[in-house]
Parts: sequence; C-alpha cells; structure tokens
Amino acid sequence: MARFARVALGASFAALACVAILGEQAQACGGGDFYGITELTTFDPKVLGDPINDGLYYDPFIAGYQGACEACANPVLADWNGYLKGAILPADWEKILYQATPSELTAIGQKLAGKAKAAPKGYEQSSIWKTPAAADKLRGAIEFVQLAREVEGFSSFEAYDADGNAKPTSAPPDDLLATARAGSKSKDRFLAQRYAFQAVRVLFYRRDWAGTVAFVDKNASLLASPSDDLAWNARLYAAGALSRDGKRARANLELARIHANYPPLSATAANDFRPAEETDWRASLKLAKTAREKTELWRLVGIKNDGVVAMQEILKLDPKSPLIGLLLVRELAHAESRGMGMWGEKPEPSELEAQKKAYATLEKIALDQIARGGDKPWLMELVAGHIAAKRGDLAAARAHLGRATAAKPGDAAVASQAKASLALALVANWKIGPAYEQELATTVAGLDPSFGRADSVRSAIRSQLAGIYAKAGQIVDAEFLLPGTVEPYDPYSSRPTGAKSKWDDVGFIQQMITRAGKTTTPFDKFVVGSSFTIAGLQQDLASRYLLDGDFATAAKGFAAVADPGRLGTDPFVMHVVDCHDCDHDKYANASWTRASLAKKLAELEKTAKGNGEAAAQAAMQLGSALYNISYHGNARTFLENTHQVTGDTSLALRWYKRAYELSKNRDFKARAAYYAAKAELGNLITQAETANPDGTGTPQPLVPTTWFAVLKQYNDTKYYRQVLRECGYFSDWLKH
Amino acid sequence: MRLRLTLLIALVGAIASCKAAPAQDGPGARRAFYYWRTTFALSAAERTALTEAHVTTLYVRAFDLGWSAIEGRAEVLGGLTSAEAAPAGVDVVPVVYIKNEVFQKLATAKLPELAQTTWTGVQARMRALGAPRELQLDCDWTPSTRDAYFAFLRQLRAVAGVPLSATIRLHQAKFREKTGVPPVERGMLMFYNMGTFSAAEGKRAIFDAPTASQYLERLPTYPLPLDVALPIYSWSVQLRDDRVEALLQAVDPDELPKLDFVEAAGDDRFRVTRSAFLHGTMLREGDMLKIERMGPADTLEAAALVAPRLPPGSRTVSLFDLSERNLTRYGTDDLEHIFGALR
Repeated sequence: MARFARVALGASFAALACVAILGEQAQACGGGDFYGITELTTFDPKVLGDPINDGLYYDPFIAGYQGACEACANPVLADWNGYLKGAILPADWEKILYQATPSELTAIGQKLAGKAKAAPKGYEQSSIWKTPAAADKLRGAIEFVQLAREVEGFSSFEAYDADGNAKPTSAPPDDLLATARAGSKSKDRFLAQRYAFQAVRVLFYRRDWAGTVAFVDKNASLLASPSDDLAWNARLYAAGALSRDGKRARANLELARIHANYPPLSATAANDFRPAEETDWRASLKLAKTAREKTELWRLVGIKNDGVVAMQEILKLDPKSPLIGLLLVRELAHAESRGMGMWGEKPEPSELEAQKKAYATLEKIALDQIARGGDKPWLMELVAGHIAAKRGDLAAARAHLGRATAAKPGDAAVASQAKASLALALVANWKIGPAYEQELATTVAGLDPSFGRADSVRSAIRSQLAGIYAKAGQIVDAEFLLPGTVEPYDPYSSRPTGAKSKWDDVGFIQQMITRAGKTTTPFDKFVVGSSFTIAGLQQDLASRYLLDGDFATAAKGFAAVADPGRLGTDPFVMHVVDCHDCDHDKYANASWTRASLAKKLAELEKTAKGNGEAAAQAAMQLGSALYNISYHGNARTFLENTHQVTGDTSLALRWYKRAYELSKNRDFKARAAYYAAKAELGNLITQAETANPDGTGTPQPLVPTTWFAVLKQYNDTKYYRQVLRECGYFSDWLKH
Repeated sequence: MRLRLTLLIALVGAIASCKAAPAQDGPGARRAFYYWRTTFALSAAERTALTEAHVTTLYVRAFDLGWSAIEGRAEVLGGLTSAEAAPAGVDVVPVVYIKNEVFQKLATAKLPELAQTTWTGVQARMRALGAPRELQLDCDWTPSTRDAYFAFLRQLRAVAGVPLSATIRLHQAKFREKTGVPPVERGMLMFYNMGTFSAAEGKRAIFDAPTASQYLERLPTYPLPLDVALPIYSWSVQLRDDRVEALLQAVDPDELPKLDFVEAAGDDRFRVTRSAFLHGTMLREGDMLKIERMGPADTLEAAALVAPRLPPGSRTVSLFDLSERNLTRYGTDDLEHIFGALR
C-alpha cells in the first residue's frame, strides 16, 4: 500500500533501457515543452460533476492517482473543532495539535489539571485557559494528542529517508498499545474512536497483520463513528495489513469499498488496489456481498487496468450503475490521446486504427446506455456527440449534443463541452465561407472561461483549419491560424526546413500586417487572435528590408515600431576570434537599438558608395554590423523574436569585399580579407547545417579557402601576423 | 536559433579516426552479471552459476533517482531494501539509474547536493555488500540534458572518490558528437533493447542483429574504454488489434502454456481466450501474448557481432540479468561460450 509501504517503482533496468534506441526520438525534441493530457484531449472529464479526486481522471503521464479533491479538506481539524467547540478557539487548538512540543503538551496538561500555575511559553494567551469548565475535556484531549504523537514516531517502515540515508526503525512498544486499548474503552465516544484508531496504527506498525485486521473487525462499530475519516482510515490500515499478510483478495475488496464510498481516500485506495492473479481476483468477487460491491471492484479494475472490460462487467451486474461515468470519460481520454506522445509525436497509422475501434466501442456503450435508460443519459449523449464530432458526423453530433444540453440546462460545463464538440464537428466538415465561419466563431467564443479543454479545442480547431486554408491557397489566414503553417520549422534547429522562406518575402509580411488589422467579423477576430501582433510583424518587415540591403526603408520601419529595446552589445566590434558573450559583457550598456543601428547603416551606405579610404572604412563597418546580426556574430539579438534569424552572411561578405577593393592600405586590406573569410566561413557553416539538418553525419572541417588565399598575400602586414598568432585555424590551413 | 555544436566541433578540431580493431588475444574479459532484484539474496543455483562461470563482478541496482513533481526535487525510488553478504571473490558494483527528467528539471546549483546524496545513499544501501570500488550510473541522457548530467558526474566523481562508469546506449555511441561522451572512467555498452516493440512475427526488441549492425560502424573509435552488457532475459509482449499494448516483463514465456485462459496461436504467441489477470496485468479476451526470448545461440550471436567492433583494451562482459528464470535456459557451458566470445 502506497500509504504504508515503499511503492516498488521498479521500472526495471531492462524496461527503462528500452529507450536505448527510442531515445533518439527524444533528441529531436531538444528538451522543449512537453504535452500533458489537457493538451492532447478535447473532452473535459470534469463535466461529470461528481465530487471526485482529479487524480482519478485519465492521465498516462502521471504515475498514481493523487490529485486535487475539493471534498478532501483536512477532516482531522474539522473533527476536533466540532468536539472542542466552545472550549478553545480553532486556531489555538491547531497550534497545540500540530506544533506543541512534548514538553509543552505535558506542561499544558499539568496546568489544566491544576498541578502547575504557569502556562508554557508561547501559550500564555491561548484560549485554552479561558473556559475552566472545559478543563477536564481539554486535558483528555491533550492526553490523547500525547499518545498520538508517540505513535506517530513509529509510523513508518521506511528504512531510508528521502535522500537515501538509512534511518533507524523500531516497533511501537507494548505500553503504547495498552494505553490505546484502554483509551478505546472511554465513555467519550469521540475519544474512544480516536484511541481505537491509534490501537489500529500501533498494531499495524508492530507488523501484527492478523492482529490489525482482527482489531478492526472486532471493533467495527467503535471505529465507525463519529468520524468518517477515522472509520475509513482504519479500514485502509486493515486493507494494508491484509495485503502484507498475503490476503490479496480481501485487501482488494476493502480497497474497492473505500474507493467507492469515501472520496478523500479514493485515490489512495486506487493506488493500493492491485489484483495480481486471476485466482485472487475471482476470490475478491466471491467475497463481495452484493452486486454493488462487485461493481465497485470492477470500477477499480476499470481505473487501474481496463476500463472497457470493467464497464461491460459492471453493466452486466447493474445496467443502471452510477459507476460507469468516470470510466467512460477516462476511456474517452485514453482513446483520444492514443499514440500521441508527450513530445507531440503524431500517432502511427496502427494507433489511429486502434483509436477508431476504441471510439466505436465507447459509442456503442453510450448508445446502449441511452437506449436502456442507464445512469447519466446526458453524459452518454455528450460522449456520443463528441465521438460523432471526431468522426466528422456533424448531423449526429448536433443531435446528441443538443439532447445533452437540453437534459442539463444551466450546466456551464456541459454547455461548453457541447460547444467544443460541435466546433470540432464543424471543422471536420469544413466549407470555406461565411456560414461555417460565423457559426464556428460564435460557438468557440461561447466557451466558458473555466472550461478545462478550451485551449486544446482552440488549438485543434486552428490546426485543422490552417491545413484547410493553406490547401485552398489562403496562406496568410493559414499562418495566422497556426503559426508555422507556411513555414515548417525543424524542431531541433528551429530553422526553416525549406530552402526559401515565405518570411523572406516582403510582400508576404505586408499581407500579414494587413490581415492583422482586419477584424470585421467574429471569424476575423478568431483568425487573427494568435500570437502575431502588428508591432511584431512590422519589426519583421523592417528586419527583412535591412537584410535585403534596403537600409533606409528599414530605418523608417524600425523608427515606426518604436522599440526601445537595446541590443546589449556593440554590433561594430570584430575580433580575430569571435566572442559573443565577452562582447555582451563588455558592451552591455551600449546604446545601440534596432532603430539606431538601421539608421547608422543607412548613413554608412551613403559613404560606402563613394570612393577612397573613408568609403572603405564605411564599407568595413557595414560588413561588420551585418556579420554580427547574423547568428554567427555578437549582435544576433537584433533579429531575435522575428522570422529573420539568419546564418546567411552574403551581404556582409559583399561589403567586406568592397572595403578590400576600395582601400589601398595593405594592413587594412589584410583585415578586410580576414573579415571576409569569417563571413565566407559563416556561409559554409550555414550551408552545411542546411545540407545535414540532423547533424548526424561525420563532421568535415570547413575552410574559407577563397579569402584565406587572399589574406595569404598580405603576410608582410601587422594584421596578418596577429591573425597567424590568434587563429590556429588559419595557421593549420597554411601548414596544409 | 542555435548554432549546432556538431559543427562547432568540426571547426575547432579534427576528429581522430582509428581503424577497427578485432578482439584481441590475451587474458579473458572479466565476467559479470547484473543483479536487478530489490533484495540481495542469491539462490543456490545462482551461486553455483557464479562459481562455475568464474564470475568476479556483480552490478547491483542500488536505487533509482526520479523527479518528484510535488516536492520539486530529485527523489530516491525503490532499489535495494536488504542484502546478504556477497559471495567471496565477487566484487559488487552499485548501479544508480537516473531518470532523464531529473536533469531536465533540477537546477544546476543543486547538482552538487544531488551528487552528495547519491553517494551517501549508495553507501547506506550497499553497506552489507562492502565498500564500493566503482560506481555505475545509468541514464538515457539527451543532448538537452547532457550538460547537467555530465556536470553531475564530475561532482559525483569528486565526492565518491571511486572510478565511475556509465551505461552507453547504442545511439549515444553512434551520435557521440551530439550526445557527448560522459566524463567517466569507463562506459558500459548496453547491447540490448535495440528495437521498437512490434507485433510482427520474428521481430524482437531485445536483440535484433540488423538493427544492431546500424550502430556498430563507429564503435571502435568510441573515446572511452568500453565494457559490454549482453542480454539473457526474456519477456512477453501484450498485443491488441495487431499493435503492442504493453510489455509484460514479469511474465515468463515458459509459464504461458500452463494457463487456462490462453491457447497457443503460433510459434511465438498465445491467444487470450477470456479476460483475466496475469501478474498484475489484465489481459482482454482476444489479446495476443507474443514471446520474446533470448537463448544461448542468440546471446552468442550478439557477442560475435559486437566483439570485433569494441575498442581495444581489457574489459568486463556482463550479462543481464542473474535470475533462476534466466539460468534455466543458460547452462554452465553456454555461459562459458558467451563469456569466451568476448575478450
């Protein structure tokens, strides 16, 4: 039992090693964000509305079932507050119950008994002293807390702490058991139950499995009230003892009873429920006294093992069983997420085939339940409608979803799920035009903000529509619906997979800007309601102009965006050996922004188009800035958050070449040639990246032979000697 | 946008190429088994196998490290709960399996602490088995976690003061530029689990020679001394609608013919005739159970395939894993042949 024993998480070496090859898939993801069940499914299981632990909903990515549970507020405090009402303020009792040290508890008890005058430090103002008539009752409570604290010290079988350190363990001594047993005979029902519960715990941690079970059985009525929480926890201990004693059949039955009847422990019971062999399981069913108990057993099988078989067995036992709903929504999530991995992997064809079969099975269960008047007909309609929607049967989806909402008027969760499912059905039958567009936009806009699958539904709709609009040639809408549609990116390198990018096209970016401003209809608003902003697109456009060499237009564009963000570096700084981080450290406070850099480049271009050394200097600066804003340089922040990030250094190379050609100074020419070589190398790297996107080929040394050869002609210059000293790559090339 | 490290490596240094070296003559490899149960207690048959096969090393699972989402920290999971003394003449190497997500989520600043608690935990759990003289780490790290994992290994080496070895999966050996080479003294090449589970007849995920061959070309130049682990285990695969539903590690293929809710349906599979539980798994009527079993000839084939591709040097050969169930298929002579095939 997870509550009592170390769960053997022995995902064994062999099983874990199964990813030896599969691990390659994970590499492709580069450790980015992963999907959870809420992203992979579009049906919100919370439509059930049952007071149920969240952890019981289907989630293949979480081990165990522990989740949030609204009905699971701390019952211990509530029990005590009810018992001590009027005797002490709740906050004061909570402090005593959870924080008082053993010596403080003793001191409090002595003062209540009149054996000490002073209250222990920190308790002087406690309301425990305010009602003398309640002193005896409070003293009894304090004595119990002292016992419970002592028992707590033995309440673990763990031989190691959470850090793996060995820790001593020992069994509770006889006197603790005797005290607990004696207390259980108290005439005070509240305390008697609590003492009896402590006796259960003592027996359990003494590893007296048979004694634990016998005590619980013999004192069933004593343990049953007044606290429900203690009653069910005592049964949980009994189940744990039965399990450890090898009596799996009864243990599983007890766990099924706990799971079905006490929500705060339903997840714990599910974790511990573990039918192993068929003989045990048949014995559990035989021990069940009623059909209801048998269905409770099957429901746990449905949660832990096989929901479909469990539903079929439950319905054989009780066609109107209320235990079907959870299993149905679990299996629906199971089917919908079939074959989809947490890294966004697409399902294999065999998984899609299995998904179809699973949908058909679930649809039949739902329809049969509707026909025979089973439990929660509205849920059955909702599930049938959702499956019809996923299948693309719009008419059936409308009919089922309509009946579901009619049966649950005013239920926001059901209404939202029906809208979500209808939206999916519309998209599955999509016809480009105002009728569908209007209905879809209105339907999606009507999703309640609390609807738990709003994001996944919107995402699924946008994704499918993007494909449809792209196929119809409406690529701007497609890109808004799902960024990346017109420009698939390699998830590992984050680079476009195609040779030519749409985002290299000024016209396309302008169309995107125009579309972003068009919000006439609800569908327009839905389409442009993505991550694109007009300002962001304008920055993209200005960046594109700059990379196309139109510095003046780029400067105007950046000025219009009014982006005050600094580059955090000096984009004109060059070294023999690049050092991106050094430059960012050294020039962190440089005043360069996108706008000021673009303006400067426009000015430099005018000079560089002239002649002489001044033009050469300007051309050199242009080359350096353009090199640095590529991802090879120190100012790649310039293009961050745009679609213009590039490793293409051709424009930089062109200006370096011009600088080289314009100057008559040999040292300057050597420098221009070396910088040109760096730009040449940048392009070689980029081309190698494009040719070998998965990076798995044998790396070949890349050498900028054109400009190294030019540099070699300047071996009499000071700069040449500097390069020779600092750039081993160049000196190696010379040797070969 | 990231600049691919592979290419940077290509720029900053040439990668030495070496010719493939055949298995060398000389003293045989050290012989070992993995021991993967949570209680260290050897049966008589297991002790006999160790003695007769001249096994000198046992790699024993100490514990696993996983990530607790609730506590936001790495946590110890399962592992060895009790141990009797190791047989005389047998060294025990503790193995810690670390889920990759630990390195995805743990803050870099916490790595030294994790190294310390790992070593403390190993010492505590291995007390009955003697002070470790080597520690093995098993993690299917990825490019995104390699920096954290390697930093952890460096910290652990400093803390433990004993040589470290790390398991190396085939893809990590092949794509070493991308995945990196762990900063440890030795690697343990895991020469098994090399395919996806498949419903197809004859396909076996435990060992598949054609798949293995795709990963061997660059093995001779792997820049760490390599030990090698070979499979001797078996398992069953649950199939539903011609696709894999689950891996049933606990199900011994030899027990299937004795069950009254399955029937033979071919050379390597059984059909489930009614829904039933088997070792904690619910089998659905109509499911198929496919057997994947290693036998002496299969393990020898694996040994013969990998032997000529291993980097030169002395090494340990370890079989996964030591259990009576596996020993029923591997006699002393079989083990002798397998160990003898790798030097």
